[in-house]
Amino acid sequence: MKKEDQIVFVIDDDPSMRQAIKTLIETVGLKGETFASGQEFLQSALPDVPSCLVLDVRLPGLGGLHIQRELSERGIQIPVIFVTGHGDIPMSVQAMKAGAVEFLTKPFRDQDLLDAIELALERDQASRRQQVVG
Amino acid sequence: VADTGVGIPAAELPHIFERFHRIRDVRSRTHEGTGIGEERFRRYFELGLIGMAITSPTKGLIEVNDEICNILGYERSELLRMTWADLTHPDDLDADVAQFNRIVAGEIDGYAIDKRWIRKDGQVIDATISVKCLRRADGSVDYFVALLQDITEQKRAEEALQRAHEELEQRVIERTERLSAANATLIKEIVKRKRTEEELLALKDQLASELTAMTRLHEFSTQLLASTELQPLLDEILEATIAMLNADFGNVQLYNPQTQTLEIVTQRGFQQEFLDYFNRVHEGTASCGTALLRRERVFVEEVETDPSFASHLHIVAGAGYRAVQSTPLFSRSGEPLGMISTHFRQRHRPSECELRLTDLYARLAAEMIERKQSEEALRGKQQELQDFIENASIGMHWIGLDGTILWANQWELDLLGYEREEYVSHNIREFHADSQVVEEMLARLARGETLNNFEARICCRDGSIRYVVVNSNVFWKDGEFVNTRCFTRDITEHKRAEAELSRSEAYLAEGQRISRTGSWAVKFPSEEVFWSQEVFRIYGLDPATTRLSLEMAFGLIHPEDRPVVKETFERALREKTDYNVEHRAILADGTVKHLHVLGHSVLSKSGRITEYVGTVVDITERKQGEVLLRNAHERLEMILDSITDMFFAVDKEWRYTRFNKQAEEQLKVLGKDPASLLGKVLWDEFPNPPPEQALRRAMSERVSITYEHFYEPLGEWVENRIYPGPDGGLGMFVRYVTERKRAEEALQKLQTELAHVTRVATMGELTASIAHEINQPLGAIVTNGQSCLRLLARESPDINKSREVVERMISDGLRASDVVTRIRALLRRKDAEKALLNLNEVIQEVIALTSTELSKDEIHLQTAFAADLPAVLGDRVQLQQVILNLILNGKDAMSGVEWQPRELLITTLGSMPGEVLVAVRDSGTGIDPQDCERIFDQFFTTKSEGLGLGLSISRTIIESHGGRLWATPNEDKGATIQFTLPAG
Repeated sequence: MKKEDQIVFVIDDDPSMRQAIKTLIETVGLKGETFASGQEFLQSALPDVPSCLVLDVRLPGLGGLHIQRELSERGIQIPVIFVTGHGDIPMSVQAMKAGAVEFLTKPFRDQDLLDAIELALERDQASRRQQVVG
Repeated sequence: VADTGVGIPAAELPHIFERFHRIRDVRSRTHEGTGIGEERFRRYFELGLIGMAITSPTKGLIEVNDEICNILGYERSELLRMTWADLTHPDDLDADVAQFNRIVAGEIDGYAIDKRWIRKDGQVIDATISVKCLRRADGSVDYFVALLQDITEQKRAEEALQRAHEELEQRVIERTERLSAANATLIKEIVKRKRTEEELLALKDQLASELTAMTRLHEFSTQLLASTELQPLLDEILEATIAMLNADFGNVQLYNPQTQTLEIVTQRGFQQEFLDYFNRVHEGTASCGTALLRRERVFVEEVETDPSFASHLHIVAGAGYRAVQSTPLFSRSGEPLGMISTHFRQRHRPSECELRLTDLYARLAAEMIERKQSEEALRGKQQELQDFIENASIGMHWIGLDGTILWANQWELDLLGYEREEYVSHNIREFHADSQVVEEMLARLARGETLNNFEARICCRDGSIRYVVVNSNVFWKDGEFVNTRCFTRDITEHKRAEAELSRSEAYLAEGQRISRTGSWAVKFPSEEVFWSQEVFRIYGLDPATTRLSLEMAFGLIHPEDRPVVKETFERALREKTDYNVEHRAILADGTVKHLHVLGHSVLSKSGRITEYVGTVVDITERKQGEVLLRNAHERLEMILDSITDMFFAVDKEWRYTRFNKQAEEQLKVLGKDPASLLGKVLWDEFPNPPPEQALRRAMSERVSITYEHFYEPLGEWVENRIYPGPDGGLGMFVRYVTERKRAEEALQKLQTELAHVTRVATMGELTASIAHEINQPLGAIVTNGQSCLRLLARESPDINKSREVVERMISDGLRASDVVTRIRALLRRKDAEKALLNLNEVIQEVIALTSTELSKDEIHLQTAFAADLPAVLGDRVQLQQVILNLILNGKDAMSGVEWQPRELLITTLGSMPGEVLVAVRDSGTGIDPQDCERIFDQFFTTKSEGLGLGLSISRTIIESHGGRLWATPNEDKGATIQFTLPAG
């Protein structure tokens, strides 16, 4: 699987942060696609390629945890990495329980995010293979 | 076919004889034979159709049948013994014998002969006997067969026929004779008729010519009826008369009653010389003059010998006529109208018929002339009448039953300004200003009433209204309403004058009443006194019962004033001057009135006094008013002096007019003399005083202004309240307000302090959000920095991308710095500092600080900003504090709302003039209407944390900015808190 065929989706209401994460992702040769809100992401058609989602916890309108729940309710199994301005423990626990790959607090180390993305994409590939086999 | 008289046709007889022969032959041949032929014969023989006999030349009659017996009236036996000759009338016997002998002689075989027979009874009968002989072989006669037929009847009929024929012939002859006689008469008659016809034909020609003349005459009559011109008709009549009389010349003259002469109006065939000569013909001159004199036609067969022409022969010769007839024309009443004369070149005498026709023509001409003359007279009269009607200075019109104007005279049209077609045939109702009036008029007229001086108002074409009086009645014909006869008199001027007079009288009376001025007059030497209504009113007297006189007038004067007034009046009378006096009068009820009397003398040309005219003015109130005014003035002075404020007044030229006691003392403190300042100009004494602008504005705009300032020379805050005065100047109250100012400033300080404290507290609540607000750009910066390092760490560093990333880092850094700056501004403790602000921007800055706080609670914030919002004068920080409070208040109000959209709408409006409105609307739990005011109380809070000072301090801030802050529940859900601020 080529790196550039895989997509990292980024949802953050802050345009600077969105752009920064996208730039970071692209430095390792991954393809990044950004959304300003959960609604915008949910309305877009997802390509059938290994992918993961970098999701801001606090979003106006539909919050990050809401989006995670909505995705699983819709049967969309996409690994989620949460980022937050100021995380608290109950929130991170809730996110991890719901199957999040990682929960990062801004500002985060670049390698932490990239590692999490790598892990998430591997998981996605694995689950996709399983689906095909199974 | 001749009838044999016995039913056997005569033509049959030979056949019978033939048969008889054959029977005879057969009998003879067979003789004893069969007897059948015999039998058949016998039957013929005895048939009795005809008389038959067989005779032997020798033995005579040998056989006879019954019929022959019947014819001859003999018994068979008697006959058989007789001969034919016995039976034959002796006169006819010879002819028979002759025939018989011829048979015997063999010349003939038979014969038939009519002859007379003598019957046994002696009667002679006619009968035809046919005889045939049967010969023997030797030719001798064997038998004779005779057939006898009685033809007596036939004979008789023939004779009757003969007789009838003869009679007819006789009659024809007689008739023919009679007809001949008639014919002769007829011929005579025809001849006579022919003659008459010829006479009639002759008459017819004459009649035809008369008819032509009569037709002409008829045409003239027709023309007369149709034509309005006399001259062409007279021409025609003359022409016709000349033609009818076969004359050569002719003329028609008209009689001029003024000159009593005949004057030629039309002529034919005359030279000018003749016409000039007979221009005017007097009675007795020539034929026409003679006819005029005799009042009958004159015919002159030969002018040369006629005495009436004796002296005119040279002219007559020149004209070329020898005979003349003149037929006079008379009116029906016998007045001479004119003359028709016709002239003949030869001696001439017209026929009776011609003269008769001439008379007819003359009669016609006379009719025409008379008629035309009367028509002209009538037309003249009519024109006069028309002129009278159309131009009489009174409007006239006729109206039909339905109100249609049938006719109107010119004066009425001119009066109202209408063209005829705009008025006539329209309905009168269209022109009346008052429909009730016109309806009443029409109704009364329809009832047959007469309208006398009925007032109405008519609309003129130019839109003006004219007052008219109408006099009208109806022309009835056979009980039918034909038309009205309306006369319209214009009384507009009269009305106007009347109205003006009554108005000016009313004005005068009103003026006198308002001014309490009565007018009076005394005439001299009669000493007749006249008072106006107002004088009676002033003295409280009834004009109806009061008898005016000088003595009575003096009696009304207060006894104390009476001598002076009397003296003044008498002196004025003496000196013939005007006078002017004030005195008191005592009214009937004891009231005392102050009166001011003016008198003006009116002198005659000779210098005598004819009249005094003057006025009486009731000045009681003025007198009383003067006292009241004086009292009021004094009270005012007292009040002004007793108040603690200083009072200055200036007139409109800025000259001091008044100071009160306090002001005077203040002036003295300042080293000025109050008394000498009066009348001096403010600006000269106090150049550039602090309230100068306020003073000038109050003076020019006539408004009240309050102005505060710190007055350096005294070290005091001063309040100036400036009012426009009634005299066009200004009044100014001045007081020291230093104490009040200080208290206000202390309060202000306290409020600022409080605002700061609450602001800090509020910001404390926002710490977490603000941290996020800073953290966000910081996070981006860090991530970008890391990315940048990665880009640079590559074997071939991506410099371009790195630059882009670094630029973004700088921008995020600035953003974080902005947040910090704003927070610092809000937290800074400083005094209020007012500047012109755009509220939209102010609100936008607050939103930037709170967006994180709102998104944390998943609140959707919307703004609806007025694009052209007027600026307001205010303190940025304080107003931001208010907006922050309202946003956080809205957020808090929605914190308890689950499963519903949380929406916050901030609206700015500049629609009210001089005012800006900001509204913050939430979709939260709302406010109990009872709490709408309480929420602004200090320490009122529904929250567990918080001071409960947010809305309270907000209201204080807004009010200190001259605005209002209030809350209202929304119709659906949540509440709206809004404030207004005056536009800067």
